[in-house]
Amino acid sequence: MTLEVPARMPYLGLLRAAVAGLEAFYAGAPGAPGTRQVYAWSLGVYEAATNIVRHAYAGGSDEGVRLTIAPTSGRVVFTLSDRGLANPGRPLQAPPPLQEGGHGLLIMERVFDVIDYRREGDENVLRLEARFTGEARPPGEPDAGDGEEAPTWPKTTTR
Amino acid sequence: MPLDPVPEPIRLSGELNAVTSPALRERILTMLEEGAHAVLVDLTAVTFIDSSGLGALVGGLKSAKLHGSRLALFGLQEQARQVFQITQAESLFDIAASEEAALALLQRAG
Repeated sequence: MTLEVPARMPYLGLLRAAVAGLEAFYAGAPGAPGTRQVYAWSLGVYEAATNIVRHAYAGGSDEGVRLTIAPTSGRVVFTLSDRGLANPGRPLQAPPPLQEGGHGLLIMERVFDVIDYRREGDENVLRLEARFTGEARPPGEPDAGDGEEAPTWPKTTTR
Repeated sequence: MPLDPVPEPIRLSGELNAVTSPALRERILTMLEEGAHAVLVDLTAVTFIDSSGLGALVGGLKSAKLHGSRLALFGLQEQARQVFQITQAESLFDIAASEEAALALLQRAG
């Protein structure tokens, strides 16, 4: 599923809400992600989208931020795309105690298992992958091993 | 030690994010510059806190320490608490369930 919103802060809650919908999407499936896990993903995606608005679009733009959510069994991939400035690349590391900034990247690093950023033409493409325990198979969706797995991307940042 | 005067909490509602957190930061600073011995932040009605909101609270805590004051949070809801847990910032703050408990915490700390 794909959702595109203007790159402005008031719209980013819609992206968060779309991610929160995964709880209902997986409901009843064995090993389904819990409320806390889905909330953490929504927070991580929100942080990524906030970075796009603040840095790629220098505070906001009517250009879009596009979120694609690809849920499969035991794994969900969030892909954020925008046409803003390229990300200069920043190391992911925990800010020292009482530092006011840097928590957004830390949240993303702690919430997602794989973070991959690349510049594709005039687009920034950020792929965030979260894995969860269990054998959750969303209704109507093939298992990740059924041949319709999400596209494979080179991992540039993993944990 | 009793807090005199008892601080009036900063009562927040809705989302504490990049849009709303600068106002909180400003408000905490104003209270400290006016001589507040303690700052209480009521998060009971806060539904969402992102890294900017957390940063504003960390900044407030830092400012409170610099002013020889204290800062405590109360009413933190389950989902909003997650940002503290994910970043392991919980241990930095005095966090209480209620206003009364937060006051007691500050009095003990004093």
